[in-house]
Amino acid sequence: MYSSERGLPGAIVANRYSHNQRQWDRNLFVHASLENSFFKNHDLLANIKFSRDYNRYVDPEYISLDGQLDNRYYQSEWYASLVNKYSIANWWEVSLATDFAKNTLSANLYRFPYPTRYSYFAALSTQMQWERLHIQASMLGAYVDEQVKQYYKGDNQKVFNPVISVSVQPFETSDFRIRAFYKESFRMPTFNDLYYTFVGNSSLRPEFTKQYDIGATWIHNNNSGLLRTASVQADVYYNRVTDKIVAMPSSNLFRWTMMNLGEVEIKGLEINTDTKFDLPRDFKLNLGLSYTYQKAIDITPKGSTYGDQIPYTPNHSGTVTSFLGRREWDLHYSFIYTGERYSQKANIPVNYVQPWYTHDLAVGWNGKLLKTNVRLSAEVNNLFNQYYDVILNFPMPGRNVRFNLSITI
Amino acid sequence: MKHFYKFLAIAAIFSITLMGCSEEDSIPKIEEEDLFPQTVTAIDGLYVLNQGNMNTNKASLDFYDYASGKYLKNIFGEINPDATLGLGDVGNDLGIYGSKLYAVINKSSKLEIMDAKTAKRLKVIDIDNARFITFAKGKAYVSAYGSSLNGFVTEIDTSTFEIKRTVEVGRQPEQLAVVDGKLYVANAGWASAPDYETALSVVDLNSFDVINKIEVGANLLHVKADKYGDLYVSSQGDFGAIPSKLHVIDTKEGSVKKTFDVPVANLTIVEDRAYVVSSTYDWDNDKNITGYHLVDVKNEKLLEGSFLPTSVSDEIKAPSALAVNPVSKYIYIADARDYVSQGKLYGIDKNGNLKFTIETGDVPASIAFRYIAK
Repeated sequence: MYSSERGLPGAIVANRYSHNQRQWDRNLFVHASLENSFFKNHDLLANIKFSRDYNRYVDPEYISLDGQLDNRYYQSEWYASLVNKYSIANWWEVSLATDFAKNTLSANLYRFPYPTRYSYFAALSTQMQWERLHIQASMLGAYVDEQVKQYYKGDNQKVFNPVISVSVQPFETSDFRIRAFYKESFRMPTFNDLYYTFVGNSSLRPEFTKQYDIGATWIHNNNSGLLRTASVQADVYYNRVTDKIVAMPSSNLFRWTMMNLGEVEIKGLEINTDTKFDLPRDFKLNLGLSYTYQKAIDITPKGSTYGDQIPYTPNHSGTVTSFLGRREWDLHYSFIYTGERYSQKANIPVNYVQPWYTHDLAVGWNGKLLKTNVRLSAEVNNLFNQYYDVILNFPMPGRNVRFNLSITI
Repeated sequence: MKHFYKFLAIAAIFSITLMGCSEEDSIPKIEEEDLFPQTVTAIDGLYVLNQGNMNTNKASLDFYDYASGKYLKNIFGEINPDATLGLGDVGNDLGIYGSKLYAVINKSSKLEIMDAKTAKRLKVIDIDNARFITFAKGKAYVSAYGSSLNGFVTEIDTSTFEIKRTVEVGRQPEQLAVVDGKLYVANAGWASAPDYETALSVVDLNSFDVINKIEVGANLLHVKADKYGDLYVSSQGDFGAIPSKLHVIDTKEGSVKKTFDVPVANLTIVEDRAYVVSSTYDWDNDKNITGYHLVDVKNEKLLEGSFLPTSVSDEIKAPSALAVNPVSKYIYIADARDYVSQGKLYGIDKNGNLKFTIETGDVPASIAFRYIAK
């Protein structure tokens, strides 16, 4: 059970520096699972879950004959899954997973369609594992049946998605492995995409993604010496997204429509390194670096922005994290960098968004006070008080300080 | 320990280097493109106001200079570097009256008054959720949603920039026009759908009171006056069973005298012609159907054919701003395209020949012609 109420941020634009929209959320779920084995080498896992979400949005600036805008949404889900696993040999396993979900949405909105979605999934997968070669393959089939009480109804969908992944150890040492995968996935238009808008779009197709990835990992552990662990992971990938679902404002400001628009091609490189040191006098040091290069290009045929980097996707981004500890004391420092981006589809000067980066520092103490375990910590986030926007015109906090006290009983 | 100090030193240098390369937010520069020079008549150019998507604060102003044939994009920031956060969020309407240029910025809740010659800021007036502007006898009239159930119209003196009077009208007032000492305001009422507003509010400019209401149809938007004392008014309907229509109102009688089954997306009147852009959504084929109609306002007759050549109408995906030069009869029509990238402006001469196209700011919304100062 989870419940929250909060003020919503609004865009900070010329002549308008404050907002008073509010939102309430309440989530409730119950969950049960069962594990059993009916015969040798067989495993069965059954899950059932029910959840109910309530969401309320109030906008005091939107006044109708019924008073201020007060939208309430109720969403509920029944979910059941059954997984059967069978080991054919000690290196070969097959499994069949079947899932069923029923989702409903209702709201106190004018012309609301009250949709119900029945989703059926079946996935057949196999896993083969030898000492120097792992292979996984699966095929997912999905069928989504959509019903509405009134107005426009989303189309029923039938989808098949294969996945294959391989991991090889080419040399004697188990420190180094090469991996590769091919994956197809899809994103169904959500209830939000289809029905939250003033007039939903009934003819949305699912968004499809194809991913190709090849990478290598090197992990080395030492039992003695200064350097205890070092690891490097590197991946290059190529993704292709078709029928991307996007929201577009229509002729009337308050009437957005959702559309399948666009093809995106993504070429990327990702590197992660991690090192752990044991220094003299009980000092421990961790140092992690990560870097991503991404070229995500709009390749929509006949599009006005063909060849441009898609919005809010930087070419370069990275993080540095470090940790220095000695007995009950610890010191954390992290640095996050997000490169230059564009806030709209066209890569032109007016849409340019500055790179941003922040330095965060934290110090902590773990110990015992009055026989209870206590942790005290202090954080300074955005140490150099830099102004930055993650999303244009939604400014992020400047330097801020936080103190934490946690007690374990 | 040595390693540790070395690490700290490196980290410190690293941080300082990165701090040093932070750039200041820069004001976007004017972009200049060569277009097509035109004969300067009483009109020597036109301004285009671009909406910019909501929350992006990207309302922008472009200027097309007839004599040089240059198209200048995004001019407001560079001309007014002291204007905090620039022109603002969602440029809705643009007008020129006398020597001044007026831009109504909806989400920034302001009226930006500039010198029409230089686009230099003269005054900013706060108007809560401002929508449209019109002028009469040295006064500007701005409709606004406000923050209560009913909207209002504000009267501003165009020489002193003082707010003179304010009058409450219907829910979500949109376009407005003055005929014969009376102000006619279209009320939409979409926030209370399906209880839309259906009437024009009639405001007497002497008393500045609402003296009458004229029943027209559900969800009113456009109001344009012709020179025969008639108003052309669009009702947007309910995007369902009630279709959008175009109505002719006789202001002497205070009633609708004719209705055309044209779903109006935009409307402008020059002399004896109303240029009407129509748009309806075809649910079966998931696309917009647009049309470009002419109405003879003298005889109140819908004419055959389109006012655009098919080479242009086939290209336009989402028609937005529309204006016709009253002297040269050049037609300017903008395409908002997918609403999330730059728009496109088309210039068509009076013989229906496409003379140019140019990329504008995001979602071109309104066009105003600049007259040479007398």
